[in-house]
Amino acid sequence: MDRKHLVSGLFWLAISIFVGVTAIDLGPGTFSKPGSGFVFFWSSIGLGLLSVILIAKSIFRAEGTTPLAELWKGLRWWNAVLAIVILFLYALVLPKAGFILATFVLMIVLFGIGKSRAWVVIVSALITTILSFTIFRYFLEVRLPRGIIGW
Amino acid sequence: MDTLNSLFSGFSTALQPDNLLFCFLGTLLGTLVGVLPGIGPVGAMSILLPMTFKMSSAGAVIMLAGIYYGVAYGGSTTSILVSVPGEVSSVVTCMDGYQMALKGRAGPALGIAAFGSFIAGTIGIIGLMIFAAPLSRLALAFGPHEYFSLIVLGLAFVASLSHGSVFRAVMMCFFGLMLGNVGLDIQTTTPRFTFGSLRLFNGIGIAPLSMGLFGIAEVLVNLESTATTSLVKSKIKNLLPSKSDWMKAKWAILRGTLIGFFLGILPGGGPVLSSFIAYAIEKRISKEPGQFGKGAIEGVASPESANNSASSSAFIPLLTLGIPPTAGMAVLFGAFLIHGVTPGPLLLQKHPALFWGLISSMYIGNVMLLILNLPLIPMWVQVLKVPEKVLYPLVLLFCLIGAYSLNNDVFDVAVMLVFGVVGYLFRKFEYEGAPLILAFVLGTMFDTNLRQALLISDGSFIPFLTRPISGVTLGIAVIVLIISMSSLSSRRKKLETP
Repeated sequence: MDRKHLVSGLFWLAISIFVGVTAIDLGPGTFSKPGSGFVFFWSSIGLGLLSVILIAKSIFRAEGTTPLAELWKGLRWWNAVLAIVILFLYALVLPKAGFILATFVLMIVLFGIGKSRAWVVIVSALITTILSFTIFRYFLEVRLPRGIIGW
Repeated sequence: MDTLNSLFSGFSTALQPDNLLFCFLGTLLGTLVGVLPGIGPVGAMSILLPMTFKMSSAGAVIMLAGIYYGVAYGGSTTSILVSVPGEVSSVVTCMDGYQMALKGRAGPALGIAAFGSFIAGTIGIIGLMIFAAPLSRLALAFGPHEYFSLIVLGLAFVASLSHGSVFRAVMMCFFGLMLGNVGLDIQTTTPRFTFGSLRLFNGIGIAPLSMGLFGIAEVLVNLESTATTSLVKSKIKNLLPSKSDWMKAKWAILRGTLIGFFLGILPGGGPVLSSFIAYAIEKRISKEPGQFGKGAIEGVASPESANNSASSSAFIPLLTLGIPPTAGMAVLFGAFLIHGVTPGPLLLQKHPALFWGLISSMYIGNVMLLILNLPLIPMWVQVLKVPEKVLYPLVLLFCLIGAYSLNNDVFDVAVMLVFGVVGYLFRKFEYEGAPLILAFVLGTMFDTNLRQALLISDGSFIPFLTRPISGVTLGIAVIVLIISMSSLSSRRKKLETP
């Protein structure tokens, strides 16, 4: 059994069912008068059929079962997880905390993933925050959130 | 004569100081992206897309195009010096380029790669110039049936030429079509999959989607990787190839150029496929095939010429038909739309200054790239020494600010991050982003043309087959898919047979 493709096949089947049902609500129309949901409906049929075939192929595949954990074996997956969590938190706090504060904290965490010395991480984060603020705010005129500091 | 006059007027656009600067920036960034393993041209173009909003449409397109064809130059540097391709289209160059470097011939390898790229790029632009206008005139005769069939052909090619499973690539096409049609229906103004959010009324933005799928995902994959690279330590000297190098490489450069040009026009073809096929053909016809993989200069000249020529010809379907043939061209397509310009057969008529300005800038860009890639090799070698733990946080920050700056809204940042996770999982589960992003940008056109065609033909699919261009195009699409699926299945049977 090919567990990797079984899982992905099930995921895409769920997506196709969700899209298909919603497309029916939108109104797929008819071939002579296609409605708003037309492309969604038929795309979901296509995706659903291919998902079912993928699921069937992965169940009946002759190769041995490989655990999903193999996909992350030997990799520093925690770096990727930490990065994505901190990025989402950054997006969440950015409007309230402001660009300077949020970015400084973000860069400390991201530079910290590289396991440099603490003072190197802090100084690098500070320089990056100041430089990026200057470039984006004054040269590229991007309106960055001021937040609690007010800059 | 008309073409020449138009070209000269294009130079008047391209030689304006700000457009010259944007061309230089684009080629410099493209070379940098090509040199640095990890971020490809699509990721770089996506990340820089929001920065082009304040530029003129000509400046934006010139800069983004410079990144696209500049990458093909820069990728050879790391392939030759580190045996790590800076860019997928330079994978093949590793085979002989690195071997040449180990034998103390890094200079001639880098030199022939740069000169071959310049010659191929220039010939590719001439071809673009020659074919663009006639193809635009032909495309004016296209109706919704023809456009729909062309889009299907484009998606079929992209799916069939994907590196992984054709099957899963077709699934990505369907998913891309769904994502591309999120938002208000153009024809009925019905909100589709907006979940009550006003922000989704205009659909999912191409910039956050592509930045997430290619930029963020790439960084996440690299953050968890434990691979390290080692630089060739020998001094790089004699960047100018010798007379005997030229004698060996000249036909390889020409063959690579032609192969790259014609394959680059095909959707899904592009620089990557061109470089592989050019290398394979060069090895097949060589009098000394045993030398390939051991430092044959033809093994560097041919693929590097092919990928540069393909980078130029990829503009043909985008500019004349409005069909982007690769993911990078899809991002450029998005840039055109953001600046209020619709690529396609009317581009030449409605925006001749932009069209010819872009082509003229590509000539200038090629000269800049030759200068950037030869004398400045030592500088690029230093860039390679920037630690990844410094580089990737900066790339992430750039992505975040870029996404935020689109609408000064964290919603775009969230969309980018969601697609970043999606892109990361795609890498794990062996799905490709290129078919998805192509289907995404073509999604609205696909929907509009299909529905219009069915309205015209009162629900009948017969006109899709009986109208000559549409019928032939759909027929080719079906054949392409059948061949690719059957060749994959016979390859699998061979592998499974003990």
